[in-house]
Amino acid sequence: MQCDEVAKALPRMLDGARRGDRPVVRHVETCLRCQAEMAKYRGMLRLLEQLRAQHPPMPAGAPGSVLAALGDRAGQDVVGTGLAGRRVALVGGAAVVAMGATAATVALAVGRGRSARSARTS
Amino acid sequence: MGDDSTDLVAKARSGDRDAFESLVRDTYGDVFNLALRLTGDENDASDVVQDAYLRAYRSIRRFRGDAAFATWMYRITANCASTHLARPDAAPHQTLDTVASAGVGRTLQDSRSEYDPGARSDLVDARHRVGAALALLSPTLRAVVVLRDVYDLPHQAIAAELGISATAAKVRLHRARRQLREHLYATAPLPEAPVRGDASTSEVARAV
Repeated sequence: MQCDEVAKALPRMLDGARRGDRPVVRHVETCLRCQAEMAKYRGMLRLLEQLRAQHPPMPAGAPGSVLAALGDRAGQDVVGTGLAGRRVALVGGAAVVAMGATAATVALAVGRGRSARSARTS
Repeated sequence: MGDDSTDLVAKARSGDRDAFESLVRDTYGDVFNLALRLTGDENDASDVVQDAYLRAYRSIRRFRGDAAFATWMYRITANCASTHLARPDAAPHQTLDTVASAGVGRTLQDSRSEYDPGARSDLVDARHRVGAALALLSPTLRAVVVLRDVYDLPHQAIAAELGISATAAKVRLHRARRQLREHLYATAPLPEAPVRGDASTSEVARAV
């Protein structure tokens, strides 16, 4: 196996060698050049891990702007909930009115039918 | 974090806004750091962080606590950054060309005394260089290497938040590592250049 081929496999092997990587591992074990290359990658990974703890300066006003936005959002949710409640009440009321009107119409029709039948029998 | 975080998360899930605000204060630095690493721009990072916390606030009831709250925030931030960077008005990322045109033939200095080159250790220098080298990657490559190698998210989580397959995430990661290695250990030194909003990476990738 050539060093160029091994170099292509090294970024993948940082996550652990797979079964098919045995020739690469064997090459690296005996090749100083590829060992140095692997050491560079490992050093790079260590530096990357350290970046997590290296915080840049926070922007002015942080995290106040986020908290203010959350406050606005919470306010919208309360208003939204109130509006939604009112919408439910309106729809419910309209349904009750509609059902009442239907019942009255049916009762009226039934009453008229009875009156007509009693008139015919008499 | 730890037990305190678990307690705060439980309270936040039951609608306690003060508890959620405490979680924001506890995690803000880390989340902003991630957003800045992903976007490379302080204004973009601030927008991404705000979006991420608003999204977390809306969906905190669905957070099952399988992972730490901070890890959950990393995933949301990655998703928000990915969406943000896909917008046409997002800040363009730095390329070798733009870095070179900004810095050829001169050394850009950070005016703050704590970043005086003479006072820094080799280790700090190396961290600065890797941070600057990250800024040279395209946003898509930078995202996977930051999420995997800096924030230790699993491949599956990275793929899910970036909207790609796990295989594609791995391919991008390996490509990103290769490019990063080329920037860091280049035979010819690169010109120095600032990364907007990130004083810690105000140097350029050059030979280590």
